[in-house]
Amino acid sequence: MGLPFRSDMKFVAKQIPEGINTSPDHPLKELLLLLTGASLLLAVVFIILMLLSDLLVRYIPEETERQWFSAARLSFLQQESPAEGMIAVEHDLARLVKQLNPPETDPARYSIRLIQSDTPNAFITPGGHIFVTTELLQLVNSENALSMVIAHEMAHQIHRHPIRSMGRGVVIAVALMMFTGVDGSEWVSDILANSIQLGLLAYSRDQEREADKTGLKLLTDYYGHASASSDFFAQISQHEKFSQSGLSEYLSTHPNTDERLLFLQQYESGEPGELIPLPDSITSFLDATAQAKSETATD
Amino acid sequence: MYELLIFLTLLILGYSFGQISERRHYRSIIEREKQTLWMPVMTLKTVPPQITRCHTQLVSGNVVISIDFFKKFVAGLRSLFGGRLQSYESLLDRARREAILRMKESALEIGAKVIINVRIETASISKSSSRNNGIGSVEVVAYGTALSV
Repeated sequence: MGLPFRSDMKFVAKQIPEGINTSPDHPLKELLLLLTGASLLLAVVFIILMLLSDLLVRYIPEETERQWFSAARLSFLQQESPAEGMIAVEHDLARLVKQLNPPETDPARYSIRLIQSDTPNAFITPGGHIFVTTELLQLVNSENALSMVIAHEMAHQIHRHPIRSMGRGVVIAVALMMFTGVDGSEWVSDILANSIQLGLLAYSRDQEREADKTGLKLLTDYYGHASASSDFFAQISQHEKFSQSGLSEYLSTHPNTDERLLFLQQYESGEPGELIPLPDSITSFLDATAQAKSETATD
Repeated sequence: MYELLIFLTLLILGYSFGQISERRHYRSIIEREKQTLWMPVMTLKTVPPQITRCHTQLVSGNVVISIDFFKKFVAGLRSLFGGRLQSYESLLDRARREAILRMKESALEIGAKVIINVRIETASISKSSSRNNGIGSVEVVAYGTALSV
């Protein structure tokens, strides 16, 4: 080639072999290894965090919980001046709570409110605030059926479910924030967030089962039988088959209606107990709303 | 669920296109390296005393290679555990060799026989890709003094 070198200093062209500056591993192998490692690590971290929060939240006294989530502090408890007849219904609902509450515990741990809504739903928030929607009243035919719904929500408070799931939520939010902060790529944390939500749903189903069991006990302790306890859920699953809309809210917080229907029905078998009709305040309230509805329909 | 679908699509697209272009690039690099193998590329600062008369000329080659979504995701996972960012290694390798090749090719254009005092500079991938929506890429500049006799 005629390179400009002296003959005693030869340049010998050599090709450098491949694979020194790169890794021979297949990129998919690395992805698989990392994904497995990351999911294992995160599963362990989150399970530990959830267990710890569950363990610690039990030690928050109910009185402290009531102070944190007192009606004075929760603005949504003060809003909404109740429509006519709703106050009377709320009085009767509070009476049902007092009836179902076992004598050794303080009924002041619960408060109950009726809220105007087209969705049949009942839920409890931290602080023992039970909410029942007006639409739910349409779907119960006896005091026993209504009591079962209320007893179920009371059982949630007995097991401290609301504050426990809240504690879990806080812990997971903080842990996720830490991961997002450390790791720049937001996709990783997005995927984690999605997978965690699935885990929470499974956990809350266990809580639902627990609440059904304890609620059933409260019901039978007061009435002496469990008749009509599945009424509301039977109605709900009936509704479920006809309309897909409107019920999603109840179903998202109370999954697997058919499964619990079976669970409750096995307690109802045997001698049917005596059913108590709905309190007058509720029937007159329902009549009034039905009348108002038909009036607007004719207008 | 919808987001997960988008994510998977991006991952598969990133993987397939990234792999195709990487393989194609490596083929071209190896081929061109063979063709220019005879030309010495050195880091010596001064003209070797053996060379008595020559023209000097600055030659340079530069290249910017983008990361793909797959590589970025794998690197994001890797940051949880630490260790070698294998997915980025091939990028830097390709960029360095391509930059030197381009420098050699520009030296060939002017009829040079040797390149001395070669320097290579690079910009980091992770700094530019960690910024939100930043396009992670590796940039390599190679420059040196071409000697033509």
